[in-house]
Amino acid sequence: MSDEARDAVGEYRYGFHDPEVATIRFDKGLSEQVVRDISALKDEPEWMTDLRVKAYHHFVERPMPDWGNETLLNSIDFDAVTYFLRSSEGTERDWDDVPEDIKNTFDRLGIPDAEQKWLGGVTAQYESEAVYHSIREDLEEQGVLFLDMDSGLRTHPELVKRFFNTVVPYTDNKFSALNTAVWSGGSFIYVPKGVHVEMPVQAYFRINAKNMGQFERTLIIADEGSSIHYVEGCTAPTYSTDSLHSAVVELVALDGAKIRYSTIQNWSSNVYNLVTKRGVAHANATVEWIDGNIGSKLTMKYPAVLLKGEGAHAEILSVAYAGEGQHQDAGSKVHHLAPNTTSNILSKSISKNGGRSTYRGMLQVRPKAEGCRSKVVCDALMLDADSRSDTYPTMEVGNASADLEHEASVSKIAGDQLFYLMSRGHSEAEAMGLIVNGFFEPFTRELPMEYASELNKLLEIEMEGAIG
Amino acid sequence: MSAAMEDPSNAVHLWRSTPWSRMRPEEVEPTSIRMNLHSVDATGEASLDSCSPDLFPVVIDGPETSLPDVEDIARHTLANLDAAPMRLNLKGDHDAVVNVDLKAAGHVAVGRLHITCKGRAVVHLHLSGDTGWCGLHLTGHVANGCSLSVIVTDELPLESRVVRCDDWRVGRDATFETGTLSVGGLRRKSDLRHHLDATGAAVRIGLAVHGQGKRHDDHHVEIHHHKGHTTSELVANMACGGRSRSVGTGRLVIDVGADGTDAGQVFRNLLLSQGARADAIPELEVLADDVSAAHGAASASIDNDQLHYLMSRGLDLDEASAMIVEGFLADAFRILAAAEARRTLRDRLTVHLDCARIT
Repeated sequence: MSDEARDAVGEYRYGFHDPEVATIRFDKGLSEQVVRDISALKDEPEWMTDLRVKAYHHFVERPMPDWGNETLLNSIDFDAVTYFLRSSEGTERDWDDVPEDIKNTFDRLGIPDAEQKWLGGVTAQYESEAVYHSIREDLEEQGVLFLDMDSGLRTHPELVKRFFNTVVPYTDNKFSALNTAVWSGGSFIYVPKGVHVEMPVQAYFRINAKNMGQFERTLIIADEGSSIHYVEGCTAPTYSTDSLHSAVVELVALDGAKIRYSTIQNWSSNVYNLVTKRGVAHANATVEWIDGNIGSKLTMKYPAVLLKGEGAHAEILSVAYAGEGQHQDAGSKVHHLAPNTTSNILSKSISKNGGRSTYRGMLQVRPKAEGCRSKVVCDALMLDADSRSDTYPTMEVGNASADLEHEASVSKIAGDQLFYLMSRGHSEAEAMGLIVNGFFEPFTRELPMEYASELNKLLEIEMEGAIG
Repeated sequence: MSAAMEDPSNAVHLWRSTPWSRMRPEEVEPTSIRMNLHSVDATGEASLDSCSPDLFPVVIDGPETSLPDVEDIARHTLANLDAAPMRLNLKGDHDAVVNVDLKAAGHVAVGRLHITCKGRAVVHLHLSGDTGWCGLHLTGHVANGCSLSVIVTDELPLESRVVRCDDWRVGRDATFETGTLSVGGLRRKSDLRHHLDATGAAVRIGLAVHGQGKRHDDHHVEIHHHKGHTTSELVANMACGGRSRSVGTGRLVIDVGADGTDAGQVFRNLLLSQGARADAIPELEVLADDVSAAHGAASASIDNDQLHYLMSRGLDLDEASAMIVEGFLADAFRILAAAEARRTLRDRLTVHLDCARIT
């Protein structure tokens, strides 16, 4: 590959920022009082305040993980983060009612346009809370709840109480504790029995302010025999100081239900993206994570599925791009807890310009999980000698009837592939672009058409811009 | 004698599956493992002598990188316990296998052996004795252009515990092969490290584990490619029956600039009973781009089609299963180029499986 091809990786096009709009902004730093103030501001029930306080103390006591990129993790200054910033007085149902600057931001991100064309509902979160929310009337009539999490807690407290903190308890890890203490925004979805939400619903998360922390909490419950596809996108401006994004996502797929959760994470390169995403699949249910990691400084994200009911299925498909100064520490975890459960994991990563990509996986079969099957494939492409690729898969098999496979490979783009394409008239850069597109194709074909083309544009900027 | 070290916590990757607290030797006077070199043929020279402890650093640093876990408790303990390290010098081309008997007696038996090879040789280290705890540290260097195969078998008591550490260095255009048949002892922890120091170096590792009863067998294999145009291959086949547990962790590191490296690792688990458990963690750390690095892991029970095929030819279920297990374990040694090494390991495996069936 020529130097030109290597060097020209495009600019982060979502790095613009608007003047800060704040109706309420907390001082930087975290304390029990901050946690209580967030809860009071939202007028939450007592059980939620208590849970937040417990989680806060757990966060303070729990040490930082001693694995992964410890240097970057230990450089996070939790006292320099703003934990709550309200930029709008309420959540609007009409884009015209959203404050002008914020609306302009989402216009530039193309959200209202996408909503009209192909989405069943949209939540747009700006800083700590949702500023816009809508759902198609026909879905509302079928009893589908699609709310921002704050509204979900306000209007359906019993349902939230039943599932909140059950899939990802605050004791799970330091960052799930932090999220539980200071969560704000996110999505709450309930799909009633037998209802199939045909069009995807989308949430878009945008950090605009400097040193901002965004801690959205998402809870999706698909009741028996229902299905939903949830799409999430994230961007932030490029600042010289760091921001922190620490989300928790809990999915509950009851018997026979199906949840597909698609994410394209494209945070700017000053954002720490430390999230916990986990789903529970009951009998014959399916949970699918379609996970793209393009941006951020450090991502640590391992979408997980607990296959709790017989016949449950998990599908995890992820791609990561690690460019200059980035460490994409991503992976997947599947726990086969029940008999005849199946899972499929495909992970693809590209490291370039000194970027580091890491796959960290866990595949576990518990002793009572008879007749399980799983396949894990990890492919990594290294585009230059300065980059790095690591693979840390763990396979724990406690039942003799399990049939598991794991395979991984690391390589550069093959010279003969380049030669083949160039001999047919493509420049080296075009040939590289075609090969990279093909490498990510198993991922992009699983996205809705419009989202896939959005991802292709992103990759065009990050990769193909460099190459053709 | 170096100062005492603190026990590693269970969070330390190397000791996560097999805590050191369960492997630590009893505090009794250790006995040195008696090493006996059988006579060798006239084609090569071999000598077994005592040597300086300096040949057994607690951890060997790579030429351009220092290993992350420099404070290794197992190597440290073996260095403290063993007062009589030995050295096996091999020169010339050995047409026949060089046999070294290692007799481990007493409650705690410890031995350290350094092997240097300036020629071509196959060395068979056979570990036996009635010890309750056996610690063995093997180090060695294969000189430029030379070839060394080391195979390790054992006949230790079923209730014994075994700690083994290896540190091997392989020179320019040199080849190092090692085959291990792990069938003895109750609890075993191996930490086997291999350094490809110069261009053209090659390492091939075959590991077969037969878990029975409550055996716990934990093998950690590290392969460091320090220079480019080096190759490595690891095949670890583990058959687990009874309530045994096997753990196979691999760490394959390809350093910056080690372009042209070709490395592969495969961990296969054959689960023979409901109570057995097998863990595989093959890790890759790649810091060079022009490489071919791959790993795979698989876990399954005996294929019913294979059983059916053999039983349709007159074998009963036990015979058919035993044949499949034998073939599966023997397959781990197929990557070894030295025919004598493959044959010796295969013979030992057959004897072991026959005995296991009878008992």
